[in-house]
Amino acid sequence: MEGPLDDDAQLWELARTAGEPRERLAALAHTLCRAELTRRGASPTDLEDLAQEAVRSTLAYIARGAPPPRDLRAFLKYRAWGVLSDHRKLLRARPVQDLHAVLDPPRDRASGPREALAQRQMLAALADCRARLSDEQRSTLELRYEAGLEGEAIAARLGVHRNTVHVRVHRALIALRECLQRKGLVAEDLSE
Amino acid sequence: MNVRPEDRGERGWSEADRAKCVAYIDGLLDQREQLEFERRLAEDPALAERVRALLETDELLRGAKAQTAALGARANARRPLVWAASLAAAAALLVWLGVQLVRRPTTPSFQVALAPSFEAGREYAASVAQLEGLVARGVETLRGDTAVENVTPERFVEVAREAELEEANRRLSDARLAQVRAGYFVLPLRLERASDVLVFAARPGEPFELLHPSDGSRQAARLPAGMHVLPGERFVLAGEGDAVRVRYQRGFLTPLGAPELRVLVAARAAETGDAPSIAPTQLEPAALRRALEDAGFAWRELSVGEPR
Repeated sequence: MEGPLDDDAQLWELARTAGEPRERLAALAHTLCRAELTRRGASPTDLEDLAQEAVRSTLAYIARGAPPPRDLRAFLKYRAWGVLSDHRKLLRARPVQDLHAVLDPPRDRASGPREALAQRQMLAALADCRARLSDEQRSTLELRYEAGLEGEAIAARLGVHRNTVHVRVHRALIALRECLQRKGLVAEDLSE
Repeated sequence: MNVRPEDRGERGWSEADRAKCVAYIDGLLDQREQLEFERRLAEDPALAERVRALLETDELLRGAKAQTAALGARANARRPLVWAASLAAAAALLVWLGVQLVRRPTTPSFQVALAPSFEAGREYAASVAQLEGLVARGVETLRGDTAVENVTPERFVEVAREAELEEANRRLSDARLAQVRAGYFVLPLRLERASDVLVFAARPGEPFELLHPSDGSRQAARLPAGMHVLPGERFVLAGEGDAVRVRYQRGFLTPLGAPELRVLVAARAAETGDAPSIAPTQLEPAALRRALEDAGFAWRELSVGEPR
């Protein structure tokens, strides 16, 4: 593994100025970010714009003198996550008609009776797991998901610091995931 | 030095890191902070795994609201076919158990055993001799980047299923295997006739929690006669058409910090019954066993421990 990582670090260094290495890194970033964005359910209409934004921000980061990451390919995958998080935050802030795309992306819609049953099982399990959370965690999640509030607004509503809200959300999401795992409902996708 | 996800433990996360992970998935970091955080993700697999878990659960919850509305509309159109698809699964189960004292169903003959499972599909695949050298879509990462697909996902899953059922048979025939130590586990099960099957688990001194069926639904509890692996076989097909691929299912999770998890498997012949509901307090071990017996269930108890 040392060889490829060294090559990637060299490519990162050479890409600080315009030229062939910069083009190569841009192409690599575009391919990896686009694949990860697809995997994470980015809508086809936004896909190319998001991939371009991931490439642009990566090249700008390199140009600012950032040292090479330990694992370039992993870093580019996470760049796609960051771009998608920014994009979904913007979508959440838009009027109601756009929320459908955020809340119910096409890949999540049940396409047949089997998928509908699987969804129904997941929803029931999720409801059961949410009922097991602490009162604080449950009310924080209700404000976040049912009322659609962001961290600052939840903090104001509950009279706590925004970081406290984030910590509660963190603990609640992990507790829910573990509960779903106990029920055998969180699977590992080997293509990850 | 990076910390492996399984070694960090829930207490290994600082409040600052917890808050930052959520700020990241919410898109609240400025671009400089965001890129620096992504550099950390690329260096720390435990942190990256944690953020992935948060992202996926967040997406699940955001999707749940719309899905609930869509499924609710469908369910209203065919209500008679659907049972207990709504709230707390355990509570729903208790109503469904509905002890029928007058017409008690025949107790089925069943065998159950334990088998350890794995966090990662590649670990499990490495433990199955029959899968050696097989590469299918979805499992390329098991064999390295240069591996070429040499079987279809359908064939891979077929071989994996045969191997899993063979191992399940071996486990069922060895009565000593009523205890395992593993981070995840599955339950090989043989039913002589179609049956309703329930699985509960409890830490010492705590009440039982329903593991299977995960939604408490009657349909999911009812299994045909033959061999089964609960909660499901490890390798299954996912996707459709050209996108079909192999997917790995880990099995039930052994909770962290649990020296012992008691697993109670109950089954009765597939007949319906309805009667008084059992109060939630009867999930206490002794009361649960009594209630199950009254409802015509036979049960076996097994034990799972965290790996040393």
